Amino acid sequence: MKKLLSFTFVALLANGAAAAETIEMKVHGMVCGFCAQGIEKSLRKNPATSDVVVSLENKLVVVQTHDGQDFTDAALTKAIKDAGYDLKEITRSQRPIEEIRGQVRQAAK
Amino acid sequence: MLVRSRQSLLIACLAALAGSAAHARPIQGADSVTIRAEYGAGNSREFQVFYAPRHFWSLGVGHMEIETDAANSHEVTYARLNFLAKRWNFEDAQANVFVWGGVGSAYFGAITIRPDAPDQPGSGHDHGPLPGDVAVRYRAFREAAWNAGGQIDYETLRFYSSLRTDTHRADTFEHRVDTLQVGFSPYKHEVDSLSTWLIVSARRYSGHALDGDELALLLRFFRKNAWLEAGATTDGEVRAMAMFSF
Repeated sequence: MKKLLSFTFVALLANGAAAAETIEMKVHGMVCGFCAQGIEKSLRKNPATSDVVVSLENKLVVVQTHDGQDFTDAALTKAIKDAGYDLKEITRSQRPIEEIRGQVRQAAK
Repeated sequence: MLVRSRQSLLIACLAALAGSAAHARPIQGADSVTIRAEYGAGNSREFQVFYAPRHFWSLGVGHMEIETDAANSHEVTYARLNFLAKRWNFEDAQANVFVWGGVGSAYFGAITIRPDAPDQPGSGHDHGPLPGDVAVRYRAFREAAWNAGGQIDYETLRFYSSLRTDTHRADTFEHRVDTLQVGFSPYKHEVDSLSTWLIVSARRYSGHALDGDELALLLRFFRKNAWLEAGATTDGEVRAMAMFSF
């Protein structure tokens, strides 16, 4: 019984780690939509990336990872730095990226 | 007189080259190709291609044509290296210092000056009356040239400013163009939305033949990777520019 509980617990943890992750980043210096195209390009080079949302108004860059794949803090920092901007804060969640995209589009109207 | 005419043509050509490049940043982003075309001042056309391996430098080539009148056209082909010397990323703003330099080849077609051709004060075409009553034809020639410059800019989502200087030199001329641009956007834009700007551009020419100031009003639009700009100088000369980044 004890072994069964342990197995179940480990299986649940593994399942959680395999889910797609939404990474929200506060980025400084994003003031031009034409120039900020490089951020999305830089992030999409990582195979873990499935989707990207950039909001200049909120200084926000959001990355959704593929199921079971991870995007380390170091890799995120490098991607933003390589695009020419400064990464200030990283928040990870399971929040759907489409929800964030919708909010950004709504605010822009 | 021949040397003076050549100098005037060289300076006019390179001044227009410098002026046409004074709108946008010389580097758009890492691993990006930027294609740019411009129609300026009623008599010039320019095409540029730059590739940026990293966000802090780019290398490219350009070609420009100028028509001084219906019979004469001049071309400049050049290569240039752009470098982002310093960037400040603030929470709501960004500031940059760019420097650049390059070499080129200026080609000047054969020129025919008729005895009754009028002088054009301020243009450098002040050769005065020609001796005799036959037209004078100068041969085409090519001359190596180099250029160097820099730009400081500061911008937010609603405000844009930049100060830029370009110096061009060759054996037969020296020329400098300084440009100050200030712009305002009536609303904040997002990456996917259309951005609209009103730009005031003030420019000072100094050097051998072209001396003077110029003021222009420009409307700038960009969305995603496309950039369009159009306006006019206070003298009524049209400027237009399109730029795409991939």
